[in-house]
Amino acid sequence: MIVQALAQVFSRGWYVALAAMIALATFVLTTWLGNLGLVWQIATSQWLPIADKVKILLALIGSISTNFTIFSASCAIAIAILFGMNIAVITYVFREHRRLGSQSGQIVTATSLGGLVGGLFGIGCAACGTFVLSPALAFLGAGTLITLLPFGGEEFGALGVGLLSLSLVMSTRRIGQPMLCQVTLLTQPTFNTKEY
Amino acid sequence: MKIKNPVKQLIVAFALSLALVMPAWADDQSKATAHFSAEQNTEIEGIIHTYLLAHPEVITEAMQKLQDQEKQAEDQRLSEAAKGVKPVNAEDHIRGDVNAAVKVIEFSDFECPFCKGFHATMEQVMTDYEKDGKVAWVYRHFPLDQIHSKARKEAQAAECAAEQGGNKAFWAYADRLFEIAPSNNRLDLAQLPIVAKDTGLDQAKFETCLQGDQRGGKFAAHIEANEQDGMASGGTGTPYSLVINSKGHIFPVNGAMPADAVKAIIDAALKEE
Repeated sequence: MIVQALAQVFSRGWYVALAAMIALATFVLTTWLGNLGLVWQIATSQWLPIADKVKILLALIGSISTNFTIFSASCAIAIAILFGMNIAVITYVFREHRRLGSQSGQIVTATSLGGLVGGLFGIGCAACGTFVLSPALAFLGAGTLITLLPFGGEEFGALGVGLLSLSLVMSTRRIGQPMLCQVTLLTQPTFNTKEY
Repeated sequence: MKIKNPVKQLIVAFALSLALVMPAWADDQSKATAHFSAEQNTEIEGIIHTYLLAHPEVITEAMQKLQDQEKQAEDQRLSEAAKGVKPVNAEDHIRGDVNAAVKVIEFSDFECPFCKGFHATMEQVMTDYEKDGKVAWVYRHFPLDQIHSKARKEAQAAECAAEQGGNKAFWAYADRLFEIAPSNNRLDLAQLPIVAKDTGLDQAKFETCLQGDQRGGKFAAHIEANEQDGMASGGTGTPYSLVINSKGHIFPVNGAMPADAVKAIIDAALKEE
């Protein structure tokens, strides 16, 4: 059912493009996150030609091979792809439900967005930790907690993949379900069949 | 003060009233001159339009002035950031020309696997840039004691190599150490004197120098100073590099970047020279 639902969504070119665009943006952002200050400095530099800016920013994406372990790079790629797919599927569900005037699409969207946010916690690199959790924990004075973990924080990458996968499953299940208004009987029927 | 004469009372009352009304009236007048009528606005716009068409160079001058101001602000911001970094000095370990236009100051940890990879990257970069004398590579210690308890001792070992054989010996030792170290705190510290022997140093002298506490022995202060410098300049992990040109522009680089990225940043820094 999940496969069928995914096929239903991604049979439309627009959703494939959306997923691809979001995935690419997420991947690029992941490689840039450790050097956001440098990225900003390059992008806003007054004296650097645009061609040089593009050259540097594109070259920074290559850090996926030097700043990431095989595991964290795999998680980063998986998170990017799953994130793109999630956005596309959530958009599909929301649009379909809105088209039919259903309110239940909003519930799915809210739930799936929770998975999306959780997945973002997994974004990071092995050399620099997780980008969301490391600063957050450091702010709370617990930055060294990550270093105590068996894999130095890379567990969050796997967690991110898991949460995004769960979000995708929940969203695609909604696609497979029929959209109907559920009727709840409050009392037993009182009509007498003998009369008919 | 009592005024008994009613005429005088009236005059005083009028004067007081005038004193209260005058500022409001003056304010009202100034506001009236600031608000132009629609016709006056149109006329003013026409004058400006005509002037700019007659003197288009004014626009170019204004844009240039704006760019100069923005560049000045950026230079100011960068020079403030540069104040957090200790200038390259005689105590540093430098590969390349000390007077090079661009210096890459790397804060590194001998047990860090990404530093190991980045060391090889920088060797490749220096192969391309060292012969022109435009780029110098400066090594500063940044041992991460929390996860690499052996790193500080290894930093001390590298300093012992420098003490015995100078700058060249330091780099030979660092290269060899990164080559053989398995990273992640797995190097057997008994290998340190053997590396010294491999790089042509007197092993006995080296072992004598290496004695001392885990804080770095007689080089504890120097290693600590490097570490503090790294933190002051914004380093939170290793490798952490600062690409600085002679104009004081700093490009901070977190982590191990591929050679293409490092070269692109160096080229950008050189371009401003």
